Amino acid sequence: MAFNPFQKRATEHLREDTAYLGVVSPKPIRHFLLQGKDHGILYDRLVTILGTPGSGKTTMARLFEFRIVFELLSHANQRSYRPLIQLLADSGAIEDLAPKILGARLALESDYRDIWELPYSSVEKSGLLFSFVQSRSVLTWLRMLEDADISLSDVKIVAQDPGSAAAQSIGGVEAASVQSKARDVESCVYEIVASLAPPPFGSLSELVTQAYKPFDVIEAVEIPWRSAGSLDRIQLQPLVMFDDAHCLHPKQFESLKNWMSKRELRIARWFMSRLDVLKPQESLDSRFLGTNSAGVELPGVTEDRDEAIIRFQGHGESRLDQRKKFRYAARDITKRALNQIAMFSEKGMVDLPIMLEEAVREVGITASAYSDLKRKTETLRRKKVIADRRLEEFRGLAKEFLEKKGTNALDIEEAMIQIMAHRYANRTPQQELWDDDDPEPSKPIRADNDVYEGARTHLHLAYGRPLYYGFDTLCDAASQNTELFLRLADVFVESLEFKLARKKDPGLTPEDQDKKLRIRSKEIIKNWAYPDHDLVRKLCEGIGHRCMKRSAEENAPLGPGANAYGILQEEYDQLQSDDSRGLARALHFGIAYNAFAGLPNYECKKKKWFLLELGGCSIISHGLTFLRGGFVEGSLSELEGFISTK
Amino acid sequence: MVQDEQELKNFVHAYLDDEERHILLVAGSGFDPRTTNFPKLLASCSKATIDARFIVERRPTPDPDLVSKSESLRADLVGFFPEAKFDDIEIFSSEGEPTVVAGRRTAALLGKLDRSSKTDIIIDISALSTGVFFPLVRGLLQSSRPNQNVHLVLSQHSDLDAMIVRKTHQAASIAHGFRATSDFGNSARKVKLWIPQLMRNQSTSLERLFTMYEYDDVCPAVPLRALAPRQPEELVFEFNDLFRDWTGTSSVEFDFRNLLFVSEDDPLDTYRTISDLHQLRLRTFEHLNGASTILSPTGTKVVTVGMLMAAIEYNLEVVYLESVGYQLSEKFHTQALAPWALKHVWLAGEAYS
Repeated sequence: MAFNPFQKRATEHLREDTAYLGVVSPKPIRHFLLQGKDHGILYDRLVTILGTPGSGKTTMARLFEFRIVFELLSHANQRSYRPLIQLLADSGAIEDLAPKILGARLALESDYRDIWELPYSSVEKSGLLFSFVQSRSVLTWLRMLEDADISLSDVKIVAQDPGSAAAQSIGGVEAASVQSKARDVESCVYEIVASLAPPPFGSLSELVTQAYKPFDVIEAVEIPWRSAGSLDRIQLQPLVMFDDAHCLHPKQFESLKNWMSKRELRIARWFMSRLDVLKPQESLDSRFLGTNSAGVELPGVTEDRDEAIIRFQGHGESRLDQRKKFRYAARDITKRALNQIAMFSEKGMVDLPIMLEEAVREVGITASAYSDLKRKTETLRRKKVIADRRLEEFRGLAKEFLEKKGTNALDIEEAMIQIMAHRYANRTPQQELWDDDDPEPSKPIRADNDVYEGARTHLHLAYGRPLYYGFDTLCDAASQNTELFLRLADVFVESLEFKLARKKDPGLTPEDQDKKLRIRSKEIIKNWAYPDHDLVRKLCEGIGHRCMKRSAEENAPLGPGANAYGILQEEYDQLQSDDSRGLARALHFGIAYNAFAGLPNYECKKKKWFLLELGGCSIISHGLTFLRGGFVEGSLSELEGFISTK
Repeated sequence: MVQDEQELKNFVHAYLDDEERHILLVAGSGFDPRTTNFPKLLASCSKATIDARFIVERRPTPDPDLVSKSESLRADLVGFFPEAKFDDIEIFSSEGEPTVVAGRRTAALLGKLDRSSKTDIIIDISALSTGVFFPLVRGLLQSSRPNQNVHLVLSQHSDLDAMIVRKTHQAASIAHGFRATSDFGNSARKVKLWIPQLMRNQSTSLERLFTMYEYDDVCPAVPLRALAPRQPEELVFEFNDLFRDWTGTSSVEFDFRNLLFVSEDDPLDTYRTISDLHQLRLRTFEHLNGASTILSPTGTKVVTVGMLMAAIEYNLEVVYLESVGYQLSEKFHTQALAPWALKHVWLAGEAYS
């Protein structure tokens, strides 16, 4: 069966480099990595890259692996590779179509964490970890060169002091001997980790107890490089990318990071981690949680002399801009992915947005629901004693607004009238106290976008009118997470592929899209499987229900409704950071895994709030709006209550 | 050597219940109703001396109903063996990202078990999880004296297994003591075969296990049960989408001819099937880069024991998903359970001398 990039975020599992290059999009990488900064900071200090799972950290790192860089440069004339080559050039990884760095990615999975469990002292365990990390980095760098058909006999290690004992301890400057030494060290540490009962530290081989510091010794790696017909020798700066650094024990993470921050190191080093590497008190700290509504923005790239921090998602620009940029990148990602599926590429149907219809029928709900809706208007007129003339005025306002919007949705018109009527009733004195049978409201009633969006939300919640359709909604549902975007888009792609196979017009109605997105969102939430996901799910459920109730209020006080939960900032600041089992942990993992976003210092009603904004899947599964700004007011004790429910 | 329940009962009374027998029983103490099954049988011995050690697996935030079930069963165990010792084993480390430490904690416990004077070591895995009993069995086998008998017993009940709903850890783990030798950094990598065990409602677990490595081939083990002849079809139907997904997102070309049908009643069948396949692949890929086989026990214990035996004999890697917690399904409370069957596997000792 053919590869389908939508079925799974598969870039980590695409063994073939060409297949990977077929699906990777340069746009999000450029957006996150460069952010208008000088690329020099990527290679001269520790770079920490933080992001939620699926935000594209590994996809980005893979592009900088030497094997991929080599593949791109070997086919530089290929048109589809040009944007990627340009990106590598802009980020300083290549220059004049020659590589400048020797990138290797090291996934810090369980082998490394297991070292912490050995029955040795902290210093001994750190020593083993450093030896393990360095030996594996060296082996990966050299393997990258071998994979690019560069013979190790042609490779020289450029050492700070080639004759020094330190240089000799890594195997000298010949690549083959350096590889051999690294292999011995790696095997030795691995055997200790793998053994059922680890030997006493005193009986370990000198290979792991004596100094082995290739990161301190190696300045560059010299390789032969053919360009413009001549064979030159070029020097590459080694780059090690530590992926999934959150898997380490917190103390390992700290010690490795401190060591990597040393400015004397000549190698480039990137630390990539999910947000959960931060302790709860850090991850929930306002400093780590992005921009606030008042427009006080934290930098996307925080840099000092020792470290640059790059955050995927949630930083560096207004949240509206983030959404726009993600939509732009998502178009490119979709196009590339559809190009990989024969059914679409052969027919030239690679533009998903045009296949997602956005025009809802004149009445987007069933006939009986529409009759019920109209009946409600009449009941409302009688109960609230609203003059016919007044209702007609509201109808006129709604029609005029919808006309300007280019739609003639009769159900929305009716729902808008009802919202306006409720607002009118709230803004006029009780009828029996006055003689006037058509009093003027204290504040004029308008048919504006708030009323329109409120009507859409009401109709969705009450009658299931489609609310989630169109490409932009799909992007918003993904909460700026590429993996989530692909998983959500998969339901559309699957249906469209089926239609194409049956030679039907490729297109999905808003009803289809809405239904499929709702089902998929619920599936995704059901399949959450990260630490404390059950608590996070309960939090989302509790918040979702409160938002749903608020959004369904008849006068639509928040316009489109609520999708966030607000706690007074001062109350939030009291959250016990050492609450390792309860709410702090649930919030920590919920934010780290994108179940909701934390927005500190949100100013509203002359108060400062901490907002928990639900993620796309929770918004859809509760029938809420994607439009931001509406929140329900709550408290920490209520959140505690949500997570303690059975 | 494998024995069924009746043979095991005879064996206990005719062979183990002897004044010359000094027995170490290592078993689990948990909520599983099978916890007390074998200990009760063994407690009926009046002549042999028996030291009983019970392992209590500790997981974060356990279900209160299961905790109370465990306590009640523990009282029964104390009734059988008043001198019994209970050892807590933490399954996860709570420092930083939850990390599986079950195997290492079990290996540390091995050093505390006094085995020198014992003629028989019996490991009852009925109420122990994979991450605990794999290193436990390997450790006890490795350190056993010549002619010291090592027995493995279990209470088999496929329906009950299906009623215990596992919440699994998000990341796959390698069973402690069951790692393959490192081929890190070698351009010439071994050809990897993965043999996962299929079990109902485990497709999410299998999906996660699949991402652990880049496999070249996958041969799922499908258990066959005389009392449930449609089981293989139902399993294949349930996992069909997953097989399709593997083919669609990796270089694995899954084919239904890859299915390994193994008996759910006889662990030796699984053991022999895996042994034959592994040896065949070693020969086939000998002059290329070699072959490796990775096992994933995710289902009923009889098949798992077959995998354990093959893994110990050929040093195969074992990857699995640790359980974060358990719940009992509705069926457990509403459906009458058929009696479970004891099995005995004589792993080492006099039977082979």
